[in-house]
Amino acid sequence: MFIAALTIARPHPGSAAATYNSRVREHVLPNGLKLIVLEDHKAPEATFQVWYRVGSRNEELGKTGLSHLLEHLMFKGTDKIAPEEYSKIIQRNGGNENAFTGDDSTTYFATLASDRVNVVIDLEADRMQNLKFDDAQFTPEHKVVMEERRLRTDDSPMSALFELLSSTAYVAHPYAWPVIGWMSDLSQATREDALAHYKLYYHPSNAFVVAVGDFSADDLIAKVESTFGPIAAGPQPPPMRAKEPEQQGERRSVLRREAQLPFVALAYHVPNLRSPDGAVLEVLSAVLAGGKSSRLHKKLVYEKRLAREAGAQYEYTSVDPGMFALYAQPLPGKSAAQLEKEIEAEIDLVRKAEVSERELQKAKNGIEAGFVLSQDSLFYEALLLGQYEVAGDWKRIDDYLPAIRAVTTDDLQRVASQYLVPTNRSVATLDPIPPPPGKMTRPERAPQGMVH
Amino acid sequence: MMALRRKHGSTGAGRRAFGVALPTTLLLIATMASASPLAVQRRTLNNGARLLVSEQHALPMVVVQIMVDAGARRDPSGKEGLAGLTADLLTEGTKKRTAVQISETADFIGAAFDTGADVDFASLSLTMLTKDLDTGFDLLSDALLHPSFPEAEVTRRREATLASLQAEEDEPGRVANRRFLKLLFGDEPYGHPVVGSTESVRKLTRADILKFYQENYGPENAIISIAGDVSADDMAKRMESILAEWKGVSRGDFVYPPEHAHESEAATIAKPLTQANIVLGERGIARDNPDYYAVTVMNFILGGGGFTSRLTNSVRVEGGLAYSVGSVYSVNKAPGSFQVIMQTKNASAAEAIQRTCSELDRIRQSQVSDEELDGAKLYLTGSFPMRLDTNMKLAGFAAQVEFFHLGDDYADSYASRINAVSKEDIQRAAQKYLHPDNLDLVVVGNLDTAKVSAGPPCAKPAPTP
Repeated sequence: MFIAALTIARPHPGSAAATYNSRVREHVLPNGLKLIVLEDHKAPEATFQVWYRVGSRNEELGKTGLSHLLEHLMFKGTDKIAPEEYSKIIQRNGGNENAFTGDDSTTYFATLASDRVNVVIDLEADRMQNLKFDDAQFTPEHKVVMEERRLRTDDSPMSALFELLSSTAYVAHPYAWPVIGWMSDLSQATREDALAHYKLYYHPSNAFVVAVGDFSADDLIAKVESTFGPIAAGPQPPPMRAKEPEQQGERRSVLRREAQLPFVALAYHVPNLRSPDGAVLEVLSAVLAGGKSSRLHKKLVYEKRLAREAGAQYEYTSVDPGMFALYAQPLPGKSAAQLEKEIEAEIDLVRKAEVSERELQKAKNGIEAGFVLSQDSLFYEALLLGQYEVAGDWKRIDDYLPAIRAVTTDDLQRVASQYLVPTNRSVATLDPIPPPPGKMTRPERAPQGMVH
Repeated sequence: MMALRRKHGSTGAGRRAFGVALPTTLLLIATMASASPLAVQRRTLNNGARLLVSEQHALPMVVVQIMVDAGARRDPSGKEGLAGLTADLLTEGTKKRTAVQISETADFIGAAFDTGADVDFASLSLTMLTKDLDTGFDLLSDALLHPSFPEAEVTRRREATLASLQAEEDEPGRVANRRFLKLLFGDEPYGHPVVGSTESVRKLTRADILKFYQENYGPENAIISIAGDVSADDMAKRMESILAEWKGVSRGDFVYPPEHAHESEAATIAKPLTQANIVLGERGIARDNPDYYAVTVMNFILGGGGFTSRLTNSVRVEGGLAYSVGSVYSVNKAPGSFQVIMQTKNASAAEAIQRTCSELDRIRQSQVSDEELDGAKLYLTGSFPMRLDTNMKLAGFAAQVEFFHLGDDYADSYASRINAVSKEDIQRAAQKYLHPDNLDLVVVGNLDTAKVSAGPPCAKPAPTP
């Protein structure tokens, strides 16, 4: 869900750690598979991740959700590995595994004791080329994914609202639809659709590997070479041509459904890390919503007592330009319209250069500290490298903090004035239908023998 | 790793909701094993608080976790939510700082400073860079020792809590859990969520909070666990100094009241949802139960072991009925709950329950296979290093080992205890602790479609006359 996206702090070259560029080994196999390898010996474990450059961004209407459906089916085995055996093998090696799909990529990972890392390398090389499943596996997993959509989106007013916000903000670009897909598309997806998606996108030349942990980089690279090396490079997947046109006027959507409290979210089209303004937007996000002393929380939640919560979400490492979103949920008795006005007023203050040097410094400190703290986990380090690589190049990681440090209060004013303007805004509002009287919670204890 | 299943932007989606890393903090202990990099140095401060320090110099950071015997089990009757509200308010004003000054100070050093209550304890948690130790410790001791609970902040936080309780009605999993706890535990201390209820929170006053704080926030049962780029000696010196004035009466160990008389019940809550949110279960075990290890392995095979568990295999892999299905023991000081939790489209509710009942029967009636037993042991023991691979996890682990009196050799002996569990032990544990004919059931969903059959969820159909 939009608001609960990963809050990975960005890298920071300063204090203890040397730059990633000086620590990471990059190696590209002849078939195009790129390896991004980082030795890190602070714990006796390793994380091994295979990233495919395919996500909902590469889908089309009528077949949305295929990337994610395929992600589930990747656990259904190969000639050598039985359905679900992947998970069993990793568990028997004391490891944790999972996978996740986003707009831009699909990632498979296992984290386990570093002396077992070859186990996952063998399994991943196998399923990159030999995935096999028939209807007996497809049919139940297809249902599982529909249950996932019901759980995450259909029964959650807020998730449904953020889905609506994206489809309001984008008219020509696939970021308009949800990663999990529209239910109508999902319900009609076939085994053949999923296999075709696999054949089109799952090749060494459309993937890369990130490995971080307590191993010898030489050994790990040699192992990946011997397992993934023989796989054919594969055809180039079709290019994704869609481009979102400039927005020329506010767009508004309303979600009417049974819910307890309203909710409002505002989204603006903005550049990502490919633009120098990206770092400014990162700082702006921290100024507006980084911690309880940030502007939105302090003003809306604390001082004016209008909101239950308020926050920001910005996608820095996306392939195509994403959104800068601000959101809030009113306290009972307060309205979404009031909050929208207050959020607008806060943006206006930034446009008028009201951000102080101390606030700016606080935002930068939070970002820098967050980076060191996030290095506590090998997994998150690998995740961060993968996200930068998906968005263009993992090497850009080291440019991040210098760019953050260079941001000035003038930059904040300029960027807010350029992007956070009404003509570039989409607003989605959850307008609750009150539950019918007596039906809201009816937890009456059913006498035994009389359960509904 | 739950957050992982969401990626930036729109609805990131993933494969599993019910991983082996169960969302109950206490459960983490259930999956820890040998070969400890813990190296915890332990001492008792002059005021009686216990200090645990794990020196870890890989990163210039420190995690501090303070556990105080002030959890929701100590909520007075009718004042449910008091422990939680008290813990929340520790950071909302002290004798020398306003709420805003506290958040400004923490945010300026980029620290994460959180307080909250669990069922058995309350905790303060601070994560920061080593260079900011002085500022961080000053903030931490101020919040712990000198909270002023300003009337305006009490009002603000109470309103926010009431709003959260209202918003919670849109989260069917929480609605089901709340109802289940009430069915199972009634008015016992574990019978309510930490947050309390709308009725009880509405009545909480500053005087209640002050009294609860004075009675429960003493050093004697407190545990201070620190992991990171520090020295144990320096930490001891600093803690003696900043916590010198921390005194408090000891209330003695909490005594959990006798279990209330209880027949299994079923409850339904109607909401316009696409899925039936199902919880079924019964009373579980306390952490000091000698059968803890047998129960851990048994539950791993039954429904705690992520993709390889029997429940996942039956309900998800074979049935295609649920994205998330699993079983959880909430292992506390006193016996907590055993819950099977799942969500399935309304029309499948009865089938999902029936499949669950079959698995509960099966693990009682026949022994698990060698492959299952080996798999569970290999995972539980082999994944140990990953339970301790961050400063955050280390600090939390050490604190819980201390809180539950698991012993200094706990991390080293865990593997042998798990490996000692036999197939016979598992079947015996299943027969002793799983009672399919006496389960409580809660279903939240569209009850017109979710036709849940009457009576206890796993009752055998009456023989046709």
